[in-house]
Amino acid sequence: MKLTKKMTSKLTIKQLFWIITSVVIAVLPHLPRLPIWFPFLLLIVVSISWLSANNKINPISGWVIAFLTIFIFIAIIYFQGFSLNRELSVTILTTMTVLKLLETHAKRDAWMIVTLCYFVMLTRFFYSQDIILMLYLIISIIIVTHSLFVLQHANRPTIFIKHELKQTLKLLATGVPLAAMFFLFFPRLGSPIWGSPNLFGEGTTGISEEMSPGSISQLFNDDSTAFRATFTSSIPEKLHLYWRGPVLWDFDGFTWKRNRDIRPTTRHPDFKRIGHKINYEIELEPTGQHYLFALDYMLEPPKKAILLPDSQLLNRHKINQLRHYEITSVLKQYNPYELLSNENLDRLTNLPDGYNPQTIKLVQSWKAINPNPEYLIQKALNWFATDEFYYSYSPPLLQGDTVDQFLFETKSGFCEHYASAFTVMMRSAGIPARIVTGYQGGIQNGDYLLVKQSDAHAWSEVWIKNKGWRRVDPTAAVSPLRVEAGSQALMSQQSRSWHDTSWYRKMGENYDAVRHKWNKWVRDYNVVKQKALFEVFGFDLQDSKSVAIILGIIMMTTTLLVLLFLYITRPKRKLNHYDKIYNKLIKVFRKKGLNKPADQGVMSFTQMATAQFPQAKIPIHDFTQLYLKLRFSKYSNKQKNLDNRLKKLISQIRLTINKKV
Amino acid sequence: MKPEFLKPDYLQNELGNKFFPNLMLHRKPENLPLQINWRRVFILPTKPGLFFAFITFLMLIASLNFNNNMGLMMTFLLVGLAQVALYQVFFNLKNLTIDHVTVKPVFLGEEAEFMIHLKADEVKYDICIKNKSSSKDSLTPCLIELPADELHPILYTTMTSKRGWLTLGKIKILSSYPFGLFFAWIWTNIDAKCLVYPIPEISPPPLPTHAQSDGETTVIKQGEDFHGLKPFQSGDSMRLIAWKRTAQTGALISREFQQTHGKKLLLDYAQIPLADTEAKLSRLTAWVLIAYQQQLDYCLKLPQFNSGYGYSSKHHLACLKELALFALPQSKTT
Repeated sequence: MKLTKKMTSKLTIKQLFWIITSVVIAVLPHLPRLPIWFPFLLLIVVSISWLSANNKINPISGWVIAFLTIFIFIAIIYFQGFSLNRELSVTILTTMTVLKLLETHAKRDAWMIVTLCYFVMLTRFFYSQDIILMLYLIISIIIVTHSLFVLQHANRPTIFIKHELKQTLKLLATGVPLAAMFFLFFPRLGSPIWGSPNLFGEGTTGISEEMSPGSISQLFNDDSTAFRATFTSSIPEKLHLYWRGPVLWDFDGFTWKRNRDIRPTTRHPDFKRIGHKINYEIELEPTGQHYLFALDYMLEPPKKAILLPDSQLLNRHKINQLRHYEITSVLKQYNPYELLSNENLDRLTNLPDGYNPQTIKLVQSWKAINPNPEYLIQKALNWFATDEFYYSYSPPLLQGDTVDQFLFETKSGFCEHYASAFTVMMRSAGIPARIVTGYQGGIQNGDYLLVKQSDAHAWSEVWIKNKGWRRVDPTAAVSPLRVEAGSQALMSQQSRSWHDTSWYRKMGENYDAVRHKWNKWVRDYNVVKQKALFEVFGFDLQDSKSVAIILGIIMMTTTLLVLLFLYITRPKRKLNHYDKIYNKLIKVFRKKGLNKPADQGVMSFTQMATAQFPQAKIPIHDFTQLYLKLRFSKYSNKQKNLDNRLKKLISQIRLTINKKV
Repeated sequence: MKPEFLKPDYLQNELGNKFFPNLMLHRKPENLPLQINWRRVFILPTKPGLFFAFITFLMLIASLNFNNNMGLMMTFLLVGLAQVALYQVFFNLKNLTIDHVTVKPVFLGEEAEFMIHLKADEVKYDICIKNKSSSKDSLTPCLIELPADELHPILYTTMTSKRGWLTLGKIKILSSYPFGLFFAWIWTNIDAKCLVYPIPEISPPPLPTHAQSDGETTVIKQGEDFHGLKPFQSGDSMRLIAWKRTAQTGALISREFQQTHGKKLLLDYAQIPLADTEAKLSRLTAWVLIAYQQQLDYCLKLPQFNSGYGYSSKHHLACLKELALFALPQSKTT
């Protein structure tokens, strides 16, 4: 093994391998967000730098790189649009890091690029802090840190060397105590100084602000979490759990849309006198939308949100990060407190001209018998319940007069079909009605209620004069199971795909419980929780002196811990098994005043010993012979009886040389 | 009368060396073997380390602003990593022992090669040597791994610029293991020096004949008369080594021969028709080398020095040493 070498500034193949791996691992989780051509760019850049390092192709000249960089920036702006937002800055940072690979020849560049990799990794967490990313954090930080290590300590050209990886792991692990302490005690900010974390983020839309046939049944296949609700008291019964989302007013024959003209008011419905109030907290997964969900009917909007007159909660910002809110509802089927103008009443009975003539005809015939809205509602529901209507999450596609087709031909549909048909029927009779979308039900998962995307639901609201809005769920008439037992019950009856088993679903729910805990204890650790922790130790977070003291204590303790750890794990020379025995002999002679010079071999030392202690000549000679035989032959490693013989000889020598004195 | 502890010498040497071993370093060369006191280790961040600190700071600001806990976790892990690197770099130099330095005499214009032998009771990594004048781009000799309790040399070369004793001078032993974020170093003034002979004249005139006395003309061959054995001396021919004897004793032994002397050669400084001292010395050096090569019996005469006639390698080296140290202050000779 060659031990010395001149330090060069040129990178070895091994170092380049680790740098490329670092860049790839740092960029990889960003790929879904980046332009479609980005993976190809990454592949090309990696191949070029790898091939040129292996002298297969000539390195690219600086001019070409400069030209390429400008070209790629233009392409990014073309694909992502030009605005000085964070999205673009993250993309540019990532691109820069990747392109830097092309001109990484010297160590100086390499150090820079590896350090930038850390930053690129960090930006990933602005988008999501899911527990699964913890795994990514651990793997990537090991790889990137190992490339730092390899940059400094380029010993052998082998790419994977176990003890080098071990060294990196050891050093990283030693850093963990400080990281943990700092995480708990480093003073946090109460609110962002600039920007908002919601500027970043990725959400799965879930319920959207429009509804057309098929839009909700599509969600039925999605088992990801929509939100989690934690109740202060017991969880209400399933049939009360109508989680209200977007309220849809306008129908164009196919799609239902929100009423965008409605303005928020400060006059909230006053349920104070009636009903049982329940408090609960919701942890909403990012949606990229504005809606918040809450049980029918909510009393007041949570912080940073508004409540529209049609009992719709809107967040002020797009929800790109996990959103927590506390809210109070009364579980009611009627809402008598919404004031409707004549204009709005017209809008709520409006139907597109010329659509669904059969439905209109049928409803008109019912109305002729009894124009009472309550009667018409009951009539329609009875029809759904008694005629051959089916509840299905994969109904046939509808076109043209969608409601006519559904009611008189296919008769098979999901909640949006029933809600849509029912609302159209009510409007045909001149009764104001609208659709509410959201979620229904949920699964009790530990101490919280888990609402999945597959719990998405749509129902109707009908305006009854002098009584107010009444919630009518036509789906319940067709499939009471859906409302009473939840969407899970349907899945148990008929699996949605080959891997849709209750076991698989249970696993997903258990994972969600872990994520809930993670969100609660780690992801949402903030200034409030920190303050509580500080108070436990008798410190005041407002007082900068105590903060300084705490950080000082952390630095001191971790310093001591690190020093202790490094001292304990410092590389020690490994003594051969027989050397240990030999050392015992040396000790015996040292007690008698005979010291072994450092460079003396076994033979000359025992000769010296024999000269000084001639009475022990025989055991010393025996020991030497046996020791040399065992020490330098490969077969007799650790033979117990021979070991004992060596030890016996030592005690014999000790006895003999002690006897004379 | 000042008390002893107030005398400047005492302050500088005794107290200074005791409490500030690093500051007082330049006072006197240190004897080997030298175990490096941990108090002499300095640590500073490297340039990549500063960039790392800058990026970590940005990461901290960004994560704090958005209270991004995973970001903070990662940032603090990097802070912890830097902390560990800081102590590891210190541990890596602690208790390093400079065992001894070997160096062979060289001719002026050649590089002096100091072999600095290092030892430690723990494994050390990435130990490099620099001196004050080492430029940034010059290649720094490094020891990638120093196994525990093994003696390993680092070859440290410096250009020679004048004849006489070349002292190793102050050197910096440094290391930035494990991540190159920090570098720790110690300055040491090791007592080691290299003898630099004058530069031999490139095409010297033929050997002088004026002082040549007559004798029998014999072809000079090695091995005519075996004279005896002597310890091997650098400069001795490999062919002269008595391998058998060497194997028995463990030390290099070379054979010595007595020859029938043919010519007697006098190399006299005073008789060289050159004005410049260095030019004279160069010519004499060249002649001494030729005479030794041809195994002539020669005598070097310098002002205040007369080597007497001789042909052995010992004689040869003594002559070269005199030439190297000619007219230099006496204090530098050993």
